[in-house]
Amino acid sequence: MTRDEIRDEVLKLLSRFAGRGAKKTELSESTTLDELDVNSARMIDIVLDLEDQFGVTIDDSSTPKLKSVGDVVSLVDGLLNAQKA
Amino acid sequence: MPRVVITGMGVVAPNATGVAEFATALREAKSGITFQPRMNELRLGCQVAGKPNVDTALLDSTFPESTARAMNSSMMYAGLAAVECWRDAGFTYERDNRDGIDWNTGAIVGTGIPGMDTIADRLVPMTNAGDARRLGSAMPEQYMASAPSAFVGGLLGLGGQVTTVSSACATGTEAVVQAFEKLRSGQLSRMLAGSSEGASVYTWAGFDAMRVCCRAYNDEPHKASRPMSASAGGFVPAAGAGVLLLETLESAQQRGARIHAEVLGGWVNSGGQRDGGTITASNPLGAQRCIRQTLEAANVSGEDIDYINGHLTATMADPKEIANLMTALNRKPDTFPWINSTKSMIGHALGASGSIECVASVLQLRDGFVHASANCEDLHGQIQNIQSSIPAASKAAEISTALKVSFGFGDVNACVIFKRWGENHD
Repeated sequence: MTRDEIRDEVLKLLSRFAGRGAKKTELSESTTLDELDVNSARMIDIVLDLEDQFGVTIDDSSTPKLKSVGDVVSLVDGLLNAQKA
Repeated sequence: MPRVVITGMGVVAPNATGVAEFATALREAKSGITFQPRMNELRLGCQVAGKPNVDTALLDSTFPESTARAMNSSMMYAGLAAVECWRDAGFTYERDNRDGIDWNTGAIVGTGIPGMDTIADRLVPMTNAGDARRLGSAMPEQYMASAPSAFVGGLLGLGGQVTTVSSACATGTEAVVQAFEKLRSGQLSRMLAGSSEGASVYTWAGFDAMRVCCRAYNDEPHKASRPMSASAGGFVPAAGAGVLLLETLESAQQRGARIHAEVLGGWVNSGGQRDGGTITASNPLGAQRCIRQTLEAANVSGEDIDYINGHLTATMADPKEIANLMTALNRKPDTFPWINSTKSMIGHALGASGSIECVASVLQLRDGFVHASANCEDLHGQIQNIQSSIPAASKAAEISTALKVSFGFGDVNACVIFKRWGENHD
């Protein structure tokens, strides 16, 4: 998958977790999860959905580092590339 | 002390979703009992149950997607009934609006057995498979005992006391009594009161193992729930929720709310598991005392009661319940009030039964009818002397004072009295 394709899939996935206090409707890689009003307790569910969607395994230690859409895209992109290697 | 009235109702019952549909179902004696293939696969003796049939479109229009991911059947029924009740009372609810807190409204929404479907279908199998990591973030919020009230409180933004009561099959009626007492204390203006019970074969299997569920009508589900019948062979397990908005009369009148009925008083007690009472059986003295104390709390006499919504589950306890009512109300068979069993149509919704049946009681008071008590053509021998008090078919009846009784495992009792609200009562 290209990074653009990953980003489109990640945006769709994250939009399902956006809280009702979300400040932005147009999402980009610079959008932060805070701006999406993602309930921090639901990060676990985001990680599980990412694993299912992309067929990767995400280490628990990676989760706290995910602050923006771009962080999520980079993590998934990195894991998919590692699979190919 | 403030007078307390009912200004909203919501219900999810096996024979109807929504109060208007439920009222029609009661009038038509519509059965909500159906054959359950899963109970058959699991070789339970009882293979019928009262399971609500909830439309997907209603779920989508009521619950935000993020909420729907973390919701089991008990929470779903409670949420649907609460939202309907809230709107019925004249308040607005918008699915995606999280603004505003109502500090003057609380909720007591009980349940009998919390989150069994969450526990049995996901928590235990996934944990046993070594897959606990994949349970997700929303397990405890679904199986904590307070899940139904917490869920409702979040949907509606309630800022008063939000709690769950649990007293087995007395739960729903106890919730109404506790909410009534909260309002009488003057602490709040409004309380949502009710209960829910999820649909899970694992909940029902335990009762089936006790041999207290009906096994003789698996091929004729609508005949399976037979309260007061000589051929009653146990209760039919069920699920659902009922929620009522209790409100001080002052608050209701200030905002011009429509009033369904008045709550006159209630009582909750236990028979102490003595004198014939056990953890699974009622001490007659405790039940009678609860009924008498309810009369006293409501400041009415036994003669004033003209309708009883019985607990009446279709077990051998039915004739004892009638005897207790006759003693406590000091009524003779020829003057015994109307009595019926809503469970004859919907089965026994355990912790949700009391609140669903409170809704049924208020509907009959408000609309002036008594619904049929189905499947008791062959009345039990010890009940035949009150045959004329048991409606064989729905009929018009200008009842004005209704007694709802509920009895539960733990030898616990809860009763409440509702008064018809009319032009001469305000």
